Amino acid sequence: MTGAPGEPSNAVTFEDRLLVELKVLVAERRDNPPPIELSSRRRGVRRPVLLAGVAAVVAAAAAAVVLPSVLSGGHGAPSAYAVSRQSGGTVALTVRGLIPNPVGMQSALRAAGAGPVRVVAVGQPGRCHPAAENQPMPAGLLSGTAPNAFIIDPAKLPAGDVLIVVVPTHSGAPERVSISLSRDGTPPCA
Amino acid sequence: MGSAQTTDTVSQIGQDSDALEKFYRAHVEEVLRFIARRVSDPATAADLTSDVFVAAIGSAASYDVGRGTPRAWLIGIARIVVLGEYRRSAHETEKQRRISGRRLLDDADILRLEERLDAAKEARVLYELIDRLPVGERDVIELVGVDGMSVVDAAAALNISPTAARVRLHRARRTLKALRNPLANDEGVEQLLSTTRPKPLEMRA
Repeated sequence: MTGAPGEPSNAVTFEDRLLVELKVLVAERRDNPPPIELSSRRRGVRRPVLLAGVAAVVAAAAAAVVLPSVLSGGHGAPSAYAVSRQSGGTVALTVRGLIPNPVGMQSALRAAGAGPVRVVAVGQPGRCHPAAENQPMPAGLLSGTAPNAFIIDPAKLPAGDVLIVVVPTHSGAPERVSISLSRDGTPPCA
Repeated sequence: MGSAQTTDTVSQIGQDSDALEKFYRAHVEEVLRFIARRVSDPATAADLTSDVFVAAIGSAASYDVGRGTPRAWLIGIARIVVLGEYRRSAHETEKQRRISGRRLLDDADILRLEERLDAAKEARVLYELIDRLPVGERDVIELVGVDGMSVVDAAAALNISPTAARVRLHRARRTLKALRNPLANDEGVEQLLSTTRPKPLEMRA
């Protein structure tokens, strides 16, 4: 099966690959704890599922809001990034500045169909692996159209792998966006 | 399955990868079996399996051992996820899905899941009979008669008292006896009517 995040992985069955993705999800939750705690008078086994349902709706709503706002420049201000779905199922990503909310960008990418993507801040604390341990990037998965502008073809993403997008979130950070491939969602060390 | 797991283990699966892996390995087979008894194609089975664990991760912090074992809690989630699948269109579901299970399937997985789904075909046929029962009775006999859960675990999964579950189970069996004539000699129906705790129906391949 699989090791902990950061260790080499050898996911060979659906169950193994699902575990890898679930670990990525847990890592995301650990790095970015859910901000909303809902209370409910109903308790028991139904409550957790209702909360999960609410969270899914909130996430979907957030993605629905984020995507149009980045495309239109959001609240009249120039947007730091743009995500759009292209014909043929590819996804275009352009980063123009600092990204104060990587999770929002991650939601936008996923909502556009980019697949399992994790957006992290440059130098984000937490588990990381040497860049040399990145998975090889398959031909056609990623193409650069300009500095910090990319076309992602999710159909070329190997099953079980996660696309890691490292973005600048604060002034002084390197402004170059880097994209790599990880077996378990662990970002490369800065 | 999973009886040795503690409340701490379950409540940590949303934050701790090791706790998640332990929980996942203890339960993934049963979740797959539960889903295989209810859907007929591998892609949907894979999606629903991922949905169940994503929902469990999202709600683990609120797990209350007083309301049932980890297994009963997870099967309760699985049951609602499967019911949700029936209600939502595939398009809507795919847009909301956090992890696309079907994307993780390779040819060997699909073949293996198809074999599992074929083996569970008999259990799915039984649902045609169970569907004729009132909802509350149907839920209990489904978990006890088809999935092999104890009445107490089924009650926890359904968020009802064990006494209420026993009453509904008794009524369900009484109704099924009245309905069973055209299906006489059917082994699956016999199992539904059995008052001894059955093994889950399936897996003869």
